[in-house]
Amino acid sequence: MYLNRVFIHNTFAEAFNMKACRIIVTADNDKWAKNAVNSLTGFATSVIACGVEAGIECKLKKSETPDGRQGYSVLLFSMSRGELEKQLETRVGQCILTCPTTAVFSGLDGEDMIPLGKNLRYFGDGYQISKQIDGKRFWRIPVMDGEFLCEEKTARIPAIGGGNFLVLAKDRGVCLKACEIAIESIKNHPNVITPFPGGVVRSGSKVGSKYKFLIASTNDEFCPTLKTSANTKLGSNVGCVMEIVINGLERKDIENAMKTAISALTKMKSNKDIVGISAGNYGGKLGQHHFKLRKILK
Amino acid sequence: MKSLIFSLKKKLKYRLDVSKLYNCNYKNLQEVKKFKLNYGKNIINASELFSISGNVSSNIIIKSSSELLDNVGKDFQGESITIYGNVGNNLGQEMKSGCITVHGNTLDYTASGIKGGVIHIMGNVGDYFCAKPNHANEGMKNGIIYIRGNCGDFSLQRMRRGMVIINGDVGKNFCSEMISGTILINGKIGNDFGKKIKRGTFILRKKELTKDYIRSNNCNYNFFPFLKKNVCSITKNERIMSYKYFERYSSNKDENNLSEIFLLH
Repeated sequence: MYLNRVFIHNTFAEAFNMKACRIIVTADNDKWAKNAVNSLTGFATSVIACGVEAGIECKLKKSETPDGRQGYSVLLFSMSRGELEKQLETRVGQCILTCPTTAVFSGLDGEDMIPLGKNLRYFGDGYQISKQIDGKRFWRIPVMDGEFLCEEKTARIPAIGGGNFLVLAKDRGVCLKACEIAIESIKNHPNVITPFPGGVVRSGSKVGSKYKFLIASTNDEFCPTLKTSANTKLGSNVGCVMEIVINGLERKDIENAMKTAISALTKMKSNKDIVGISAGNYGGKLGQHHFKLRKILK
Repeated sequence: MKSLIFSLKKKLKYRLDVSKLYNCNYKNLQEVKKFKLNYGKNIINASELFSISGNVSSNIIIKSSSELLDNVGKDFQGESITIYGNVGNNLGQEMKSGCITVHGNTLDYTASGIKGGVIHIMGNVGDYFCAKPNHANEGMKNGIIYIRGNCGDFSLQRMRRGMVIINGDVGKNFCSEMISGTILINGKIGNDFGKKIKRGTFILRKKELTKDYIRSNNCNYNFFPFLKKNVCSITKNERIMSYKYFERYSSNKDENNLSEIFLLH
């Protein structure tokens, strides 16, 4: 199958069940809201070592935030409820509470609630004030720039992590440009994030390693420097491969994002230098969700 | 949206308790029409006083209401009650959820002991608004109330939590023994305001009420823009909490009083 003259491999992306929550971070201006969310979503690329995968979902208009200030919506994904709880509290405590002028609110409603500011309130050392508005509890914690406002709880919902596709290109410049176009096209896509730096992964991994102590190692089938080995899945004209990983709240969110991103990059001017679009999987035995590229792009 | 519509057929002679009329799980319209009401010395069918139409639903509309209609929305936990005209005592008493909108005035004990939900009153309310019910120790326990007009004396006794927005004036002995909560008053306030308050947040426009408080430093309060947006959203009025600047007063002379006042200018 070809899409805008770019070959689409007959393969699928393998994704996993995860737990997710959404928070809204606001501040006096865009600069400090961005500082806060950049810090919050730092070191949150993969659950392999970061505990949580997080990213900015979208920038919010003043009319869209609970307090009418500049803000960002952030999604956090984890493999377990406990880890999500732990990472959320730690990151909000160290990255949002500490950042000047910020406030944090829940971005999801649901039955399964996890603490957001519930335990952070103790930082107020008894001077914190509780406010319950419209069934939701908020904490006003006195801090040196005034006060930090945070919602007590946020909802945790089931989600999917690990939707992905691989861009196979003739050289690194073209590959990177294609990935940038793809990421830009889904920048404000609702309910999805791309947790890796700039949204792009250059070190795609496979499960296991020849070293017993390692749970993941380089995806040698897609390494252009290993094209001469027997395992390679790359043609002779592929000089660079990059991966875009997409986490989403629902299956259709990831499918829409994958479709938009792949369509956008195949429309780029130098698309003749894109050799193909493939996807990362583990043989289909590990992940609960399979995203078949050709089916999505039909 | 399906609604069950009650219209008073005639002018009432006696007070009418309708507390049970809106809280039953009716199967059809005939059941509603045959619902027994105590009226004066008699027990009569609801259809004798009301023309009842629409569909059986927890969205209720009362047309041509009367101030002799008591206990409307008492213990209510349906979706909505919309009233065109005045209503009597105990509107929304101890209601749990849902929304009551009154396009008129109400009498005493409006929303006393309310536990949740939203009440909008487009006119004035009588005395003992949000007061504690006779059998309870606390007044308003939760919920959101917006009064477009004025409210009477002895209102908001022992308020526990929730938010009250009053666009007009309030009478004497307002907020006595308040435990906590958030109150915005745009108009004048009567004598003996806030006796024996424990905690709570007031947003006021009258400086004389701050005489027992100490003015805080002029720092930023993240809570304030959040509260303003909520108030504007509840009242659907962008100007209800308009101000050029505000001052915060806290630390009352009375050590047990931990309340705060945001004074709007």
